[in-house]
Amino acid sequence: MPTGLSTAWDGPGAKNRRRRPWAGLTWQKLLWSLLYPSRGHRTVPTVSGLILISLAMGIGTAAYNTANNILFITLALLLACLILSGLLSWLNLARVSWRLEAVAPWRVGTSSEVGLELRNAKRLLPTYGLWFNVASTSHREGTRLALRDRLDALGGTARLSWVFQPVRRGRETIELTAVGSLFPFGFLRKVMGSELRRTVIVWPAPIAYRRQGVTTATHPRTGERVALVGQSGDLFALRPYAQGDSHRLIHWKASARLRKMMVRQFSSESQDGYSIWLQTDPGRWTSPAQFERLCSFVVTLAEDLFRADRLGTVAINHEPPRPIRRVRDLEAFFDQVALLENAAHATPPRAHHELSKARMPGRNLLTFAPDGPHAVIALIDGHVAASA
Amino acid sequence: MDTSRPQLNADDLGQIKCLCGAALALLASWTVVFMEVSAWSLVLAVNLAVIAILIRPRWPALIPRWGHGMVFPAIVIIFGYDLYASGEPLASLVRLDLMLILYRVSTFRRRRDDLQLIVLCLFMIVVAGVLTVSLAFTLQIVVFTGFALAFLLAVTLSDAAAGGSDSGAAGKSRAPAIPAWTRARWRDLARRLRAATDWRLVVFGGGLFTAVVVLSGLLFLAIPRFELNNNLFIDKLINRSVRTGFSERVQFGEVTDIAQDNGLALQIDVSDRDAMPRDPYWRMVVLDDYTDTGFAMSPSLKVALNPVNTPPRTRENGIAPFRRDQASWTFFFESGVSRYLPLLGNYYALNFTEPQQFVFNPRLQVIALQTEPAKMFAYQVYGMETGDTLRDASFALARRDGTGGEGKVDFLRLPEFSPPDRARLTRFVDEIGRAPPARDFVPRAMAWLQRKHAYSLQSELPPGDGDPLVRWMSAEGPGHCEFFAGSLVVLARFAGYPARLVTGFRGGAWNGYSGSFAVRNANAHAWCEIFDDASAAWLRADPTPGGGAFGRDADRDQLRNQGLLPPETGWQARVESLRVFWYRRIVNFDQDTQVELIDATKSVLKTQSARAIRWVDRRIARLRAWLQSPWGGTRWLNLLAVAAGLTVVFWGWRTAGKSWWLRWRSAHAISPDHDPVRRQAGRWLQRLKRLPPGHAFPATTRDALLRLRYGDRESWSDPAATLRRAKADFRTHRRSPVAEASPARPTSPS
Repeated sequence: MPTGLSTAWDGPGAKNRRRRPWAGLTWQKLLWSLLYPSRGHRTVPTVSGLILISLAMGIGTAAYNTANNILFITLALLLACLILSGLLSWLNLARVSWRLEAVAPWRVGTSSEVGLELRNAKRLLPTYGLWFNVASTSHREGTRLALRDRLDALGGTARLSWVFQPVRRGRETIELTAVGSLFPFGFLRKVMGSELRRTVIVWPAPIAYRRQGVTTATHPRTGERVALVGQSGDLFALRPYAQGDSHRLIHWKASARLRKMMVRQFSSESQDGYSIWLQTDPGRWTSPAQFERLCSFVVTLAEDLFRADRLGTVAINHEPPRPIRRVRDLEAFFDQVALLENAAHATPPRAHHELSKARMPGRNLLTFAPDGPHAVIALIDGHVAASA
Repeated sequence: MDTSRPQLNADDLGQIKCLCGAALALLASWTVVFMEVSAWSLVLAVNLAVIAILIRPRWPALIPRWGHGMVFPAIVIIFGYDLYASGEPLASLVRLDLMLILYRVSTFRRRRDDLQLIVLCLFMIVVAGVLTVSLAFTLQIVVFTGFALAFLLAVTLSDAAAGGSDSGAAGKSRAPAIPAWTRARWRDLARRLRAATDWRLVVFGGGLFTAVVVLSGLLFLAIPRFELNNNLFIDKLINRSVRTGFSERVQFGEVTDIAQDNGLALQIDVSDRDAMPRDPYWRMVVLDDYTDTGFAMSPSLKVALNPVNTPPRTRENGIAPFRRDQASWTFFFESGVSRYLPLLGNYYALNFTEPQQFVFNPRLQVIALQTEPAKMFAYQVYGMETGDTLRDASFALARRDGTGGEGKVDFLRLPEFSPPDRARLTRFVDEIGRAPPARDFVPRAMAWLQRKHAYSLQSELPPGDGDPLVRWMSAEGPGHCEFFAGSLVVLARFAGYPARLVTGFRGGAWNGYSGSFAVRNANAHAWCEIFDDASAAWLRADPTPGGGAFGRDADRDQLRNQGLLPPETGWQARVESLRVFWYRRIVNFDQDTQVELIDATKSVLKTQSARAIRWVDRRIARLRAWLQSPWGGTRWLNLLAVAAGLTVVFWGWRTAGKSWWLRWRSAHAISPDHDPVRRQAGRWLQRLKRLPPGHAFPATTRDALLRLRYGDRESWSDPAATLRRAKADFRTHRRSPVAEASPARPTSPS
């Protein structure tokens, strides 16, 4: 279930650009921009450009030395070609827009795709030979995406992809650092800086773990697959509303009668499920590698339990427990785990621990503890349920 | 989006690169034709290689790997030997360039090799242009530019298709792998090109290329000019053969050989067409020494040609001061004719376009460059005398004093004739009649010669012993100009009159297209000059039948052409007029011309602006006068009729015309995004968002705008009326935030 996270359109053809980019442009600004171009903007000669410049200088020197008009004609043609090159280069980029699209999910060690959508709004001229430098937080060197085909006029579109594997959980910023072109004659390498970026959250990597009762304790159900735990099966009872309950489950008559919010409780909710309580106090998790292992273990376990419809609630540290009913809930939990920092959290007060434990529903409360210098174990009532 | 056009793939681009490279190589190799460099075998090899790669693109794969390694050392060795053996650096460089081009077209090129090929070909084109200053250079460089730009474009697109690398040095292997495009067929490429080409893009590309040519022309005119006075350049590194008929030694028949060629030798721009003589004699070489094989310049005469050590641009002759009413003459002297410059006579000043080293003699009126010009040579002459006499007071004084004249030059010297020849010459002179002064002897001698001999280009000396000219005079066969002129020199000297042979051109034709005077090699001629003690001048005498009358100088009106110069017509004259334009405006364009051009532009602008101001003033004055004149009934009627007409036109446009125009543009829009009606409606809908909250913009108008923006074209009522109404409503409600009951408007038909 990949989800596209697109940025706004950027580039010379983006609609949010000023319609008249020359408005407010003065000669002083223009000259200064030539001397000190804005960030990322560079126009440097290529090898063939250097040859052309050397040729023009040589022919110009010879022309002035000899007053030979044949050489002046050649020099004029070379200069005209250089001007034509600049004009075509400008036309090539004109009215072209692009945007980044990060296709979720992003997970450490799993191939993820960054898409770059291109659009040419010119009326007549196609666009050729652009390249895009894309980088991310964990891949600073990035990659170069080349537009190998013609991007036709009148709204022609193209899509370039960059597939890479994130190496760290947490926030990953994908950035289009530059757009360049050698078009049309390869004399100049024109590079436009870009600040188009998209931040995504990279979940911890899935990890292999040894099951010692977590999944075997489940009661497999036959024939029925539910998307939302708690909405299927027979009506079992009414219970007070808890944070995260769907509004559809609210029993309005009972709520009015009892003057507090009551929701319907179905039989599926009463089945044996697991709750995950992740405690990240740095006193316990002293090794960063072990902490990373913990995060991977937690999300892998949570995902497996969710797939088996056995995941009830989750909580991190002193936060109140949250029911996991939808994929969205699970992804929010993954996001939260992805952003956990080992040393940043202060040790929560004891009272909060107790409070949280008291509020965790169900009998199968999974907690986590280090096992030796590297391993992590999941405990249910002090018994090892799984280890990684 | 136009999705019908297929994309060119890497193989197509590879084929296009191959084609462009082949075209550049052919174009560069053909420049050898203009350069007179001995490299025909290499030209042939390049052409064969190009043909081979077009027929069988994979054949470069047959070259073994070690062969590529041997190529460059071999080329360097050949070049070194060539340079040593020929002693001509430029010719060796041209051959080296051709060898490199041959190798580059015979291999599978990478980006670096493509660039090298372009530079090598550009070298050939530029060198040929500099050496020849030919009009063909413009065609060559324009075609070269087109192919080179297409080539570079294909290289760039090919690199982009390969991933956008511009390093050009991928792989160090000497022999690149066989590219895939070599398996493709040219016919398929043509089909794909045709399918992938959009005619609008072709028109755009053509317009852009034309703009480049025009822009380069403007840049050529605008590039600031200044001179560094360094005239050492590649045209000095090559030796060109010249026609021997215009050198220091002329054998009988050589001038006539030149006359067999109808090529252009000289073009003259003259500021006053009337100044051109009806029958001009363009003097080039003066020969004084007669031998049995022809005429030559004696060593003493060569010494009399004073070398100019410092290279000035101007040679002033010191005759009477130049008057503004005198004509100025600009000569465009083609290469390969002679190092002696054609002149009509004495002059006030002579200008070169660049500093020159030359020799001259003011009394002979002979100027010769130090070396034969390898390209078209231009010079300008002011105050040139066009008569048939050449004053030489020094020679007259020397004859009076008996010192022999100019140094030791003896214009009376004859070879040692055998007694029979002397007897025959004595008889000839007696037949002619000794009649001093020379002015009287020469016409008689000319008439005697023309009586005995007819003119024919296919003439030969009669066999026998003795002096050849005496033999010819003794016989009655036809002769050409050299026999006639040489015989007159011999006769005059034998009779005691100083005489000399002059070679050059006679006549020419007026090119009406270019407004210049064209002289061809066919106008090559020989005549003689006889010194007349009475007038202390050399008199031109042309004894060839049909030659100019002798002693016309007294009647100067006869010298003027009076518009009777033979005009040239036809395609050849048109082409040559282009060449004159090329010489006048391009080759001879210098700092002075640039300043003149700027002045002329300023002058034109001032004149035109003054004319425009005058035109406006006149119109205002007429309007004022019209307004101030009495207003009668007819006038009012006319005025009302015009106003009514304008009103009808405006009303028609407003009610039907604009709507029709919008519908027509909408129907012919290339895409919905470019539909003018939908775009205008969209703009108005955007503006509506800026209205203050609580505005009372009529819903019917908004609906009509939405229909125009998104609805079916068939459901539109009147686009112009809707847009007009939107404008009116927008103005009404722009500053009226208070909600009011919107007036009911008719809804647009669905």
